[in-house]
Amino acid sequence: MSVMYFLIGFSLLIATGFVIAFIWAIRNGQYDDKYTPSERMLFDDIPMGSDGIAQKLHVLENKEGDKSSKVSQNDGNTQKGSSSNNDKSLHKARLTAIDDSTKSSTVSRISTTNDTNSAVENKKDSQSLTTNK
Amino acid sequence: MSDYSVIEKTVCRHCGELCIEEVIHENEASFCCAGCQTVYHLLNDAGLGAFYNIGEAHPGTSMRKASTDTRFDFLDDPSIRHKILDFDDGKTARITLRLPKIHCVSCIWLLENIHRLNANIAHSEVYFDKREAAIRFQIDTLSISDLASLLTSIGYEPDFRLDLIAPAAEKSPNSDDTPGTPRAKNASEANKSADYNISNRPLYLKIGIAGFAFGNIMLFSLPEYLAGPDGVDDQFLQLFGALNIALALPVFLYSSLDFFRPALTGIRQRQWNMDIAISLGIVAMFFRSLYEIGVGLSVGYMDSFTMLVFLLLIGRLFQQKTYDRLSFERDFRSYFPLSVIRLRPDDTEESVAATFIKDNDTLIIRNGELLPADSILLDEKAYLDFSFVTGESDPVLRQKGELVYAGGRNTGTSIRFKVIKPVSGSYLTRLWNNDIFRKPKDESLRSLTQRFSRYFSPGVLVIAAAAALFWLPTRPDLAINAFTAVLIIACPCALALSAPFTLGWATNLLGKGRLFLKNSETTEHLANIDTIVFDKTGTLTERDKSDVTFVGRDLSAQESAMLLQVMHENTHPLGRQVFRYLKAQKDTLRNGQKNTAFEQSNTTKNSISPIKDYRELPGKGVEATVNEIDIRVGSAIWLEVDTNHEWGIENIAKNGINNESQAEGGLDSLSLERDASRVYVRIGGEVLGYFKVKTAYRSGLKRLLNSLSKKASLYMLSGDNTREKDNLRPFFIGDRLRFNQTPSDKLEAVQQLRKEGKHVLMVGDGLNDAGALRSSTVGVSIAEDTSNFTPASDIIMSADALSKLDKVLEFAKSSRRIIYISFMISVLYNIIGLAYAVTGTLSPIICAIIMPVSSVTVIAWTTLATHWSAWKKGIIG
Repeated sequence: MSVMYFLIGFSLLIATGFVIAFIWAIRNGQYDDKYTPSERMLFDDIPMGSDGIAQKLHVLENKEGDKSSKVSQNDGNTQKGSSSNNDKSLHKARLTAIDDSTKSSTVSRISTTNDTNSAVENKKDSQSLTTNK
Repeated sequence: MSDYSVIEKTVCRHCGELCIEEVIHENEASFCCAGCQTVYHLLNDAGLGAFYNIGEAHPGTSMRKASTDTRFDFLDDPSIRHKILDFDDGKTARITLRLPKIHCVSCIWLLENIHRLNANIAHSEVYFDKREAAIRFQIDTLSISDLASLLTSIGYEPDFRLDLIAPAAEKSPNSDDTPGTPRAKNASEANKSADYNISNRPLYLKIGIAGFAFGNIMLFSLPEYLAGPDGVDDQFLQLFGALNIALALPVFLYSSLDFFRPALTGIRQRQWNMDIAISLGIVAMFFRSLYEIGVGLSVGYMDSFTMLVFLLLIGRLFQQKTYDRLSFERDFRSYFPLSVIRLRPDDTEESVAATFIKDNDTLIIRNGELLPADSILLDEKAYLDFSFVTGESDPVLRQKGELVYAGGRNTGTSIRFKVIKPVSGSYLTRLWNNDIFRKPKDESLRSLTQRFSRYFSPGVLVIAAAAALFWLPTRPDLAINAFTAVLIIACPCALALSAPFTLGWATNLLGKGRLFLKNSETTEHLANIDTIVFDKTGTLTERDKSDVTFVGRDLSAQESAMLLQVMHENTHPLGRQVFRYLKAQKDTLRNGQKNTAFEQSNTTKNSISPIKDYRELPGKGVEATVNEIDIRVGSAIWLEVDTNHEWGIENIAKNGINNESQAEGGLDSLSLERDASRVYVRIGGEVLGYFKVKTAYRSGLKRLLNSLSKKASLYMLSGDNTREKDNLRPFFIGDRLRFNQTPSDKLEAVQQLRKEGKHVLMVGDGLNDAGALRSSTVGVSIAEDTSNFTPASDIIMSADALSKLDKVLEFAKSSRRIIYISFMISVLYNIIGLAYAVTGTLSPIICAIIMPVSSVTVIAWTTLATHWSAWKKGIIG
């Protein structure tokens, strides 16, 4: 049973290590703001054009109810194709049609874009509300 | 299915609000105003378009209401600079700005990427809970004012507090001066992230150490508990005992300080508080354990001791919920404009900090701005709104040469003033220097736990002494045993957890119900309330809304449009309400006709020629000429109208504003005909009818006041005039309904009630209520927008939560009952434990069982009971 001494000693050593780490973490300010870092780590980097300037991003969106949103890249500044710098890939546009007799709906179309040309979209950003009178 | 109509509404791409006033269509998106559109393009051009993809669909701040011409140049004044900046070495500077408009994840992303908008910004970091951002930038190339303007241009106007900038001599005694961010001392510190919130760190450390010790000591104590009658080997007993002492030492010397210090204070002040009882228990446990370990009797009570400290500290942490982004302490300076425009001798304008205004300065106060110092009017006349100070909502006319007190808001075009008293000497300041603000808030209100402990600690000592005395003659060895045992087991672990957990949950739950408490003791005070004092304007009434209906023959679209134009210029409160009504009508009309209506009303607008000969006649009305037609809007007398004329069926509008109020109508059941204001309309010589303007009371008020009157006496003190008297008479008896109250009148009234021994709840919203709020037992301020502006109070309540006030009081009473029951539970456990203690048969294992069980029971009970109570009363869910 004399191994107990060794076991206890060693485990206490490790436990103390953890306590020291805990104390260090608090004094280092890691517990000051518990919310913001949790959001911050989920942010994406902004893709950079080859000239060091952040690429322009135009935002397209389908109507409400369709959760996917699209991002297309617009190489206003550089002449070269942007395909080499894609962090955000192009998503396919979807045709949305909801045929529901109890709701009114709008169909929106979004033209797909070629990643070397500028994107031109025609859409209406609108929300339909039904009200009972 | 019932038939329904579809209304197409356009939502602004940037801010997500409905585009009512105007719509700007682009290829990709629509916007509600040019401001939103500008920000959208600004962000996209800088490569920050991902802003719209991160979280919400419309994360922007509405730019429609944003003030576009706030001037920040006074920030560059060297004497102010060092007060605002955290760090400044001439080249690099760091500043922590409060940005109340931060509201979502996208805001965090955007603000941490502003270096892409301006290369002089090195780094920025957001502290979401506090709505702050620390920005490191090159101050030699980017001035503070430019930085502030940049932030304003994307929708995050920084909020500066005048009281933090004021020269030291002028500081008001009660202003809360804790920026929370310590200054950086050199460049390398400035480069680290700001130490945002160091106030909780000691508590975390104490909890961590106590928890660590608790877990390990428990493990080392278990062998003895489980070993059976023979116990563990002596050498192990010694080892475990020694380890227990070693682990418990830091808890005794460091973590327990939070109890020893208040206990010593209590002893010095001869007041029994709970901390004395706790400290007694701690000391008894620690030293008895030392003894028992020393003589090899057991492994000691260290596990119970550390568990006690651990749980109690957690209770304390839990009770500490603060709403960092709200400010419960404000003095008058927080309301005043930070800077005003002053005319230099050469007639150029400069922006100067309000505290630097001197006598004889000429100020230019623009529309909507506050006058910060007592001054004399230089222009011909001015209309000023003093509702901020007095509660009276009609603008007051001042003539050239008249003295105007600080606090008036300019409702007309820019006016010039000559300062005769600096900000610190003005009437408003003297109001705030009233003694009521100097004393700390009345501390004589004992919390429940304090009152209980007055009996508890002495009671425990008596029992301990009695037990010791009992054993002394027959078994002296048991005497000390019994004495310390009683102190140990009667330790108020569960007792001391009851209040923190109950109140902590109560604060949390009320917060979910949009009522924000300054600290958890406020809940206890709420349970005692027997008198409620209300303010009127802005508290019982909606601040900017009224019920408007038009009585008369139908107005054609053309006529409505003309009236709309005329009323647009009007500053009178009645005129403003009529204007809002007409505008809402126009939008409903436009929206009902789908998109083509937009072009239609556009052309209609173009076909009306601009207004000519606009004149406002005080006491009478306004007149103007549009399209060669003479239009007059005003009082019956002026228009020579027969007020008894029957106009036929009321033309109730089909827009939402009126429908709601008619349906539940605040104080609708009273006969209001003669009390509503009537604004008659005459177009081209023919009187068409009148707009009936009634004060809009907040919804649910009648039910609320009826319910409250059963529990408390209700008072109403208003700075406004007596026109609403008959509406309110049914709810406030006799002298309890007072009008034309000045801020001092309100203050004295509340003080008088307090002197009579009443527990007063004051509900108000403006600066004029500040003194009364402070002198009441509990002060509640109503905020339409909880991110801004409130007077100093104990509770900040969102306006829509007002109708729940009676439920809140019930909930507070219910919380108090929960605490009582929880006390009973812990007393029960104590009795069981005392049975062992007085007979001298207490052992560590019994203690180690009773304490956790009682604690868990109490915590579970308080948690479940408070949630159930809040749910039942409709405060949450």
